[in-house]
Amino acid sequence: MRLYLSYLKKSVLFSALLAIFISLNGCSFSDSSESISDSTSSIISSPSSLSGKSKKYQNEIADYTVAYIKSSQSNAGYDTFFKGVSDIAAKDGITNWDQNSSTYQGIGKGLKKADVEGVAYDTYKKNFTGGDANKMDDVQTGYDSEK
Amino acid sequence: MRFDLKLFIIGLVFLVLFPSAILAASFEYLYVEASEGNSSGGHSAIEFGDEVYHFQHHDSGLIRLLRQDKQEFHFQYRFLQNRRIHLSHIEITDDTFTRLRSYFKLQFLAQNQQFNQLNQLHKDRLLLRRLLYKTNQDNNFLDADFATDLQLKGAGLFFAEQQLGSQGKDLLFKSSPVIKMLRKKIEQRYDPNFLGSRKEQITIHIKLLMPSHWPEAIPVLSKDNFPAVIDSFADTYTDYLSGLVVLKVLQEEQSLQTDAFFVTHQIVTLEERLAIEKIREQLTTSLLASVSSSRPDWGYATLINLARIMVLDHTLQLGRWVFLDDFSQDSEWVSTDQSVGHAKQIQIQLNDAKTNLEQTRKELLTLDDLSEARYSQVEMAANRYFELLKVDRDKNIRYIGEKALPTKSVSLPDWQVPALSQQKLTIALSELAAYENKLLEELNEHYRYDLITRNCVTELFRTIDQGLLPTQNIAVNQVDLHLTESTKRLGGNVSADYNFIPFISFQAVQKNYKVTKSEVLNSYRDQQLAKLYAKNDDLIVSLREANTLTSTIYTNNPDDAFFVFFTDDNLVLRPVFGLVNTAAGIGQSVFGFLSWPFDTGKNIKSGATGVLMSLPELLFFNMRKGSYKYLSYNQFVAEGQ
Repeated sequence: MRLYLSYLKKSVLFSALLAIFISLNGCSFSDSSESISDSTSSIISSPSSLSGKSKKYQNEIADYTVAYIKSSQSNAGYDTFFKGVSDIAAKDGITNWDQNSSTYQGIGKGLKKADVEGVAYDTYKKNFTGGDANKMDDVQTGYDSEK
Repeated sequence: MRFDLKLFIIGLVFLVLFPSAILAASFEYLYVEASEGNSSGGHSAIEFGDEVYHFQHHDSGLIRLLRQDKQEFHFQYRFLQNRRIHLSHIEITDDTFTRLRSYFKLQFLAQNQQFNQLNQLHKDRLLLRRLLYKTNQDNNFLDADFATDLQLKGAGLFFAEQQLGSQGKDLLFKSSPVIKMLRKKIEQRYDPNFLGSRKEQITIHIKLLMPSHWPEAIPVLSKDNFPAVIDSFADTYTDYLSGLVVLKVLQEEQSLQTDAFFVTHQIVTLEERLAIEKIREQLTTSLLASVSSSRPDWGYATLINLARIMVLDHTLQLGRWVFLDDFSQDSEWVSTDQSVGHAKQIQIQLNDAKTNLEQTRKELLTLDDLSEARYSQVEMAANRYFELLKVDRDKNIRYIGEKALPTKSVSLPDWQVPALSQQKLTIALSELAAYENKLLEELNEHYRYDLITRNCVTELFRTIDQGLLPTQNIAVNQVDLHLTESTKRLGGNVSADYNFIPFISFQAVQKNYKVTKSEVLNSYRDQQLAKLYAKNDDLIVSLREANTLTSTIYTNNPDDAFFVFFTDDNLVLRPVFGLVNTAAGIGQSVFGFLSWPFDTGKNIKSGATGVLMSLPELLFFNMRKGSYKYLSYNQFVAEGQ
């Protein structure tokens, strides 16, 4: 009986706290670190939009490249950059992003968007591609495609 | 070149008469009506083309900017959460559009990086503490979340949780001929000792691995400032370990875990067989490149390639589709009771999933450089369909939690650890703590949620104001500048200081901005009611659909607190209905008191929420709408546009 009374006490206290919490909860709330879209992404899928997704993927890589360049210090390694690329690619079901020309075209677009030019551009291009001629061509294609 | 005065005057007259012609772009301001539980005060968002940006309050007490696909956002809010959206269409120039969208995007990316760094710090701390525990056996350094927060992604496809920790082979071990064949290919391509020397190399790297250097003086974290990129100690370490797992799989010719894949009854057609062979070939080429790749996460990429090659091979041998399981370990489950209660909707979802699988299988036949992404779509569609099919066998199902790439993980094994002295570990931990505290302090300063001064509405207007400024860090009076720019570009200004309630701020937008069109986008229930009214007698529909007990378009969702009457579409009777709903909430709470020991407070929580959602109804306010958790996205595509 005593145990049950203790439950009741806790219940009343809990209700009061809950009431305060809910009335103060003005905006959309997420109880996890994942975005709300993560909770629906698996429900939403449309196979016909894959070519659109490819363009979106390229643009996301471009935006991420801009962000990276703005934040990286001169002595920063490139591993963190590649990890970020992996995360973006993984959302589109791509593991082999380093063998996908869209990735490097996206990087090229990002370099242009970030106004990287001259020697700095050549250095980034070489470092992001490991000096691979085909990948460097893809970066150049992306760079030239961005006005 | 002659200046054409006539043309110039015509142009000028045209712009005077039709000023909107120069406003080639637009954005939408969205006000989402209130709902039970997660946003009782309503919500606000801004839409640029296909992207929606909105601020969301997280459990950390911080508010974060999110970016969502437009369709996803509308499906989530208007259909699953059943909330009307009030939309204001604001016409602007191309320049203003670019300026605003770029600024929102930049804010989103900057925040992602800032919070990502916080996550890295957390993982680094766990690893440093675990290494300290290994050196001094002090239980104070044992963290319960070490095993859950530091995991080897993809390793769970080949090894069970405890299996990876033990050095010896499993007694029931069965070697894989596919892995044997791939191992031979790798050795032919590189060197017969390639795997052994790669292992030695990684082992040395691990031994020499040093903790990240977290600077003492942290750069000031302004809202649009990206924190410096720092390689994470824990990430680098787990990447090395993933590499070692790959080498273990190859050297020991490890098979897939039995729960890592599933065999379907679906027959592989002749065309599909050819496509699968081609994809297997592409993946094998990628695998050969990835084992020697310099990318940091080559281990995870190789594990996925290996596992997929194995299931594709299995598919070809059986003549029936075999897929990897792509649900994450923390997927949300739906019980048999729930799926039976929503049998009609689950059946619709099942039919949609079946159609989706058929479509993705057709798409797979288009072989191009998108093959890997296409295969991932088939894998996802198959996982969804076959998971939903389990409902027919009265089984609980995983409803949400699929990933585009399989992630089955295991906790970190103790094989190899960096050779760091206790002193070095202690210094690293203290550096990290100082940096983390400072970062947390700054994040709190910039993003701490406050009901009135910093919420989803105020931050939208602040971001709009900042985004309109020509350059950052201008020395003149920012308030005046915001006002000038906003008036010039949007027609007026909405101050974040006075507009913190979603509904009121929507009216402020209507009043101050250059709104050219406004509309109300119906919720799911609104749409279904309209259909019923069009086909049936109004009175009968009205009586039947006003309550949850006889409604044909609402089935109680366990996430909703128990209620009797819908009040969002009945203003006159709202207080009366609210009274009944309040009584229902009190009833559930009383029942909750009794059932507390058995349901861990679920009913009492729901009852209390019910009462709180009903009380405003007594004063003619509506919050609760009733939600539709199990609607299909295809229903939204067909009806929600």
